[in-house]
Amino acid sequence: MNRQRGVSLIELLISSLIVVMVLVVGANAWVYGMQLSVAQYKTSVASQIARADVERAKIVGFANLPLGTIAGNSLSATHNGAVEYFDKNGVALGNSTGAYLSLQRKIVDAPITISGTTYTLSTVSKRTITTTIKDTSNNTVVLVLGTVLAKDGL
Amino acid sequence: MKVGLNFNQKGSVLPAVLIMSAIGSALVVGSLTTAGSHYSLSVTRANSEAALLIAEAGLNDELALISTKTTTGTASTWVTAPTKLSGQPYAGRKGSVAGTNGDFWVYASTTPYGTTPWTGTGPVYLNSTAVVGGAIRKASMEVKIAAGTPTGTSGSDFNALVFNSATTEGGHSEGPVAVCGTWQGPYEINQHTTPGKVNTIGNIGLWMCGNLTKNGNVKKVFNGYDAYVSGSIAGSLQMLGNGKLYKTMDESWVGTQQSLWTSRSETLETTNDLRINVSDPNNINVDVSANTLNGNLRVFWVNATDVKALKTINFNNMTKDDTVVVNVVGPTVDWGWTVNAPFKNRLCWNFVCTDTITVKNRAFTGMMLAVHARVNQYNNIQGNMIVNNWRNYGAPELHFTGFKFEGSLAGGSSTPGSNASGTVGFTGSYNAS
Repeated sequence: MNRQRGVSLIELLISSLIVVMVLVVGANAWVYGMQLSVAQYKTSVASQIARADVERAKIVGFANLPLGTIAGNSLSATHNGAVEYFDKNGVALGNSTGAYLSLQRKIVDAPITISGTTYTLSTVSKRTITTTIKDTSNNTVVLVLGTVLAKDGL
Repeated sequence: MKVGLNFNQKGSVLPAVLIMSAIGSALVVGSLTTAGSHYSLSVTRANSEAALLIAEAGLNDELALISTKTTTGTASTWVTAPTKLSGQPYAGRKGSVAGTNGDFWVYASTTPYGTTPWTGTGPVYLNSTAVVGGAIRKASMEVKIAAGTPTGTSGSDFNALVFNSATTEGGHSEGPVAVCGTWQGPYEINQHTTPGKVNTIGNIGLWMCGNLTKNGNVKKVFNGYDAYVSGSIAGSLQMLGNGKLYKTMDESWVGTQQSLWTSRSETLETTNDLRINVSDPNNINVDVSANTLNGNLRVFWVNATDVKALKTINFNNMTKDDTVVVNVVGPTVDWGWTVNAPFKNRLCWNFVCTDTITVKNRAFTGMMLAVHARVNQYNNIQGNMIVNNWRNYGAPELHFTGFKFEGSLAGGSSTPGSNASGTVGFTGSYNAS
């Protein structure tokens, strides 16, 4: 009888150990799963915001997008757009308060024809547009979408 | 009260815990799998969106490239052929959008996504395939291409075309010189050959938008050729043979040339090319005719470090219709090659990303296209020099007779002028998948 009681105690200890292990693994898995879920949501919203921004740039068009600042003698110019902020639903905010994601559009023009401090674009110029979405909580890049515009192109 | 224990139930705790753990684990694994699948799906969708944008970028990239070529050569050479290169997954020219992941491959054909090369007449479609992560997207559009007439000057009339400053200790050029910045030091210009031309102005020996600096230095322009200097002149500028000095000039012309040649340089760098085998310790032999990637435009590449070793490179089987371009890749070049070619005036060395070139150990032969580079010249340069800054030491020479570039960087008979007036445009027929 005493030996059988001892076995039950060992059983109980093993069972407790298993329960603890399952709880620890399960808790971690739950946290990981939540992170995946959040990442999935963030990627989806970021993708939609970025795509919408690139499409807006395409609608404005090759000729009408803002010109940038000439980079030394490199025959290229860069325009960094204003940072825009969005909440968790992808709705644009007026400022960074309560922001979930941020967006910044960059336009690099090359080659360009420089005239003094300004420049013009030609039929051989390309305007490379990249839209970067960042997580405002840690300023990490969620995704970057980009395309190239040419005169009389898409 | 006496509690009755049923020892026959011993061991039931462990099985029960195991069963519950298994059920719990199954639920956790299921949840994780679902969450992982959703995440993968969202990444795939994002990659797919990115791939479509990059495919469209490929189409526009090809449009801009065609625009650089429409004033010379046969129309069929203006577009990228539907050729699948060795090691590439898709036909066409490979490219990318700076700052993003993924690549595109773009080419032209007679039908959407077709494989028949455009002959220069009839409908032409640009086709692009892009890959981002595992996502693959395609896009095709019909374009209209019309030839133009070169109305400007190409700048290749000048022995030296320097976008910014120059400092010389002496020496001479056989051909005309254009500098836009300041030029300090003595020099003798245009001793032998024909004059330069800027738009409709001819008989040019020196085209200088900027200042000639330093008192005591003497510059000479030979053979009755004219000098155009927009800035101040310190020291002496001697016009030999009754050449005239003009102070009014088009100061934007060099800037236009800088844009044009930078575009050409970048285009050549992305043109399909073959690597030159430099393993021979003494002589490098290149079979020009074996490079059939771009018709008579024979494009090769080497690393910048390759050209340092003192060797002789022989371009064999080169015809009068060929133009040989060698893309030299790297930030610093110490030139060490002697060049043998049957048509040295149709040879271009393209240093698209090079900051510094030193010509000291061997003379340089062929056109030096180095739009971002400072050239430190201790030895002769035999051909056009198109550079950002120029510094010479001692009295090295610029040779032009027999070396003036006559090749075509667009695949035709000659290199076009600055005002490419051809038109290339989207006609409205577009599809993507």
